[in-house]
Amino acid sequence: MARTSDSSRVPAHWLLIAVPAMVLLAFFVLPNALLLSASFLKSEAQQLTAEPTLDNYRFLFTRPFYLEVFLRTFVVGIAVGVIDVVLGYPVAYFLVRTRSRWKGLLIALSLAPLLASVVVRTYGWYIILNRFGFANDMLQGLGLIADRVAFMPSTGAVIIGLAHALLPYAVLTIMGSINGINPNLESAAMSLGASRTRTFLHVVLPLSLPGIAGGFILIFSIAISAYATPAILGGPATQVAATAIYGFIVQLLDWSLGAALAVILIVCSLLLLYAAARFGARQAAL
Amino acid sequence: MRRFFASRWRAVSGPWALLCAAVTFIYIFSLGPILITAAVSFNESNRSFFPPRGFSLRWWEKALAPEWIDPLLFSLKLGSLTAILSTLLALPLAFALYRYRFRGREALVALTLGPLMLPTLVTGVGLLQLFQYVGLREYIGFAALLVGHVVICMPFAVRTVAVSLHTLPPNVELAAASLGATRWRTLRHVVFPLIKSGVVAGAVFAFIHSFTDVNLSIFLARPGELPITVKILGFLEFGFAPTLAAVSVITLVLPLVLVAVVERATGLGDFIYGDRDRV
Amino acid sequence: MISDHGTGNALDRREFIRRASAAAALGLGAPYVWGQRTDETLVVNSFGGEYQELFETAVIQPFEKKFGVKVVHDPTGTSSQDYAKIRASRGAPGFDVAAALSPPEVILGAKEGLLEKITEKEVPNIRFTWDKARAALPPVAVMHTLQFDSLLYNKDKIDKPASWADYWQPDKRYGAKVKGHVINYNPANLLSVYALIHAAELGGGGTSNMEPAWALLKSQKPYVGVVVTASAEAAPHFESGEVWLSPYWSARAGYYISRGLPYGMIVPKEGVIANIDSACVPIGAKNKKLAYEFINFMLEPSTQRAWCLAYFCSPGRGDLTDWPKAFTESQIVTRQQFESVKLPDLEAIGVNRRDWTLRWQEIMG
Repeated sequence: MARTSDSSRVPAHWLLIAVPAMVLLAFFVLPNALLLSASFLKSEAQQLTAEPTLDNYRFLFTRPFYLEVFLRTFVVGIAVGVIDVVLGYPVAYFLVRTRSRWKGLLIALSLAPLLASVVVRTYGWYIILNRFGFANDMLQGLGLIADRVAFMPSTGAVIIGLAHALLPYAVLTIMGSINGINPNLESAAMSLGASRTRTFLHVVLPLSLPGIAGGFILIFSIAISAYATPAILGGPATQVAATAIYGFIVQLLDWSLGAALAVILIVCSLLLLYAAARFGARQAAL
Repeated sequence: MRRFFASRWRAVSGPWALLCAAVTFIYIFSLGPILITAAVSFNESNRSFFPPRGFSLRWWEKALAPEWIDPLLFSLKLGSLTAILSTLLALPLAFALYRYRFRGREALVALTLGPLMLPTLVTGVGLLQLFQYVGLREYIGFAALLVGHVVICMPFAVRTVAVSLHTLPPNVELAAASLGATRWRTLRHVVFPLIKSGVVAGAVFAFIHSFTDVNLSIFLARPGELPITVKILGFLEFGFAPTLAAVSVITLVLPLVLVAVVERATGLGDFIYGDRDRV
Repeated sequence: MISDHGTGNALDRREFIRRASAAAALGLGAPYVWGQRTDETLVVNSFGGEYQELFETAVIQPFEKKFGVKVVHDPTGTSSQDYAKIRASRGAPGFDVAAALSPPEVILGAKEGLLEKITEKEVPNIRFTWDKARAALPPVAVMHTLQFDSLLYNKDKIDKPASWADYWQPDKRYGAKVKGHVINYNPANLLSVYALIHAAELGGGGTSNMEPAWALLKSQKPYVGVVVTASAEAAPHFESGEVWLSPYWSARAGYYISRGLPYGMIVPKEGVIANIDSACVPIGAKNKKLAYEFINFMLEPSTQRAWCLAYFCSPGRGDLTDWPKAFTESQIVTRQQFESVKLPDLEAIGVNRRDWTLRWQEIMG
């Protein structure tokens, strides 16, 4: 980076992006292109043939089951993103502004769901959500439900589980942007007579928008590609894109359909984000 | 000034108290499921009861054996190296994307988001195929894992660095330049200190993402040298047991303690908490 | 943290960083020796979890002792995942023996040419294996143990079932109280495929006509409380007592019962289908000679006895006698017992599994 200004013939951005872009091309694009090209090949009894075809895509687009899978995937992604931003904001704000001497510990604890292996998280949710679990006992005890309800497997359980797992991303990303806001700005606004709410809405919130957008994009992207949590809390009947891809590639060993699903997933997600960027959320698009 | 500000916050306790209450609930939501699993590890019997029946530390004894500790150390190493490499690669990339408008920029943005949106399993299988095709079979294991993890973790670092570049005061570089600073000095002494919290957060994310990845690692790990997540999954395929609860608690606490120790000793805290009075 | 800012300890901190980074560099940069493997190292992929230890004591350690070699045990992966790895690496997955493959993967491996052909020359003990089961598999696999799909029931909650109909139409036998206590599996798990075949047969169909199975699946759905894919995922539901009726692999069922779960396991009157556990050698294996030795050793009488008793599975050969009495009662050890177990129609399963899975998903989704 130090030498960028010296070499005037090559544009500076080229020097900056050359190495990382090469790494991504060689070890992300190339291997995936290799594998995903199988989506254009016919497979017979789980075995790939050399015959090119679009049948895999046709098959997926004509089955309502898979359209539902994609719809569910994006609903889950958006819901998890929104929930986490809403829950993460107060925590981030608190952690930045608090003077508690436990601040360090609290920050560390807010990371816990991320570090807890998926085993810990989903097993905990299983204990809470299963038909004979905590939630049922409590709701029945309070007389809110008569019959026991199966909270899982369900799309709702997947959303709760992922929102729980990914919350730290929202907290840390939003903290990053609130950190950049000088607290004196707030006190200045208030000393000029603005109420606390007005100060927050007109000073703090707009300044922390990049963090909110960044956190949302990050969480949305991870949520739509997450495998383990949906696999356990959603079960085989409530599939999302990642579990369906896993099913085809690893369980049924039918790579052409799995590859086609993956291609559709990544194309749809990129289009969705591109559209979001066009429609105003310029910050979010990086 | 800050002290004064803080005391004013407390004086007007209404909204702050409300915030504290909300935060408490969110923490319960965050930690509840984890504490439940932790409790299971103290079961006396070999069945995973909750609430636990009896009390025993024998599952912890099992969890602390080399069988589990070795994969844990392997994952810590892999995660640290991944964090360093992916952050080093992400810095110039984020900077270029944020600072320059050029042809192909949108494609590059898509490229940096790709690894986040594609299930890592796909990249894992793809990389295994690639290594085989080009005759690098011998590197399946740590080297292949490192490459794979750097690729899937880089987007985290790019994102967080980009977010911190956004919060950079707009004319800070111009100002420095007008004061006669060279480009490098500006970057080194003005820009970097302002974005370092983003950089460190990116490295932390990259570490965590590497430390918790399982679907890519399954395909690139070498028998006998397993990351902890793959080891756990191998166990889980044959049932949940109290040992697993104990192991999982260790994999949760150890990195946290590590962060805390480094924070105490180095003041890394400023990076993450961002002491921004100087802005 | 704030008070740490004094200049007094800044030097210490710098010093600490220096030392810490030196130590870290040493630790991280330590050369990764690619575990130089000699002819005397064998990598075996097999069972994980609680079975890992059992497999190591019953099979691996005696083998190491007898042949004076080192075995690296790779306990990861389900059988289909192991095969995905073999396929992606074009026959060089990093292990020399795939000791836990099930028939669908074996058949695929033979078709795709990714598994070595194995004859009596390489593995002499293959001639003792159950003849019919051996004939059902392509010549790239050596069967070493048998299991079957038993019906597992919660003894505390319901009476002993007798037929697959009791599972598929639980309301007819047990009434409304079983609602939410029946488990069903995704056909990505062979267990589910077998159970569906039983259902088809109940209605007069079979692998060529699965319609009766779909009808039964629809009628069973309101009573199903848990749906999972992998057999292991069912375990917590057994522990909580939530599931009362489940088809289940006999070996695991035996293991859970021995651990004290209040479950019983029966062979329904319509019979059960065998699952054949096989060992294979990927074409790119580094140490094929020792791999064949290992597979042969798995079929040695002493190994068979130790492993079957530990794993609650049936032996891969029918010429062994004097098993414990309780063991002979619940396992397949005699010719007569073997004849009573159906062998799966592997060809039909291979061809139709994808469609069956999709059909299942559409009904259960």
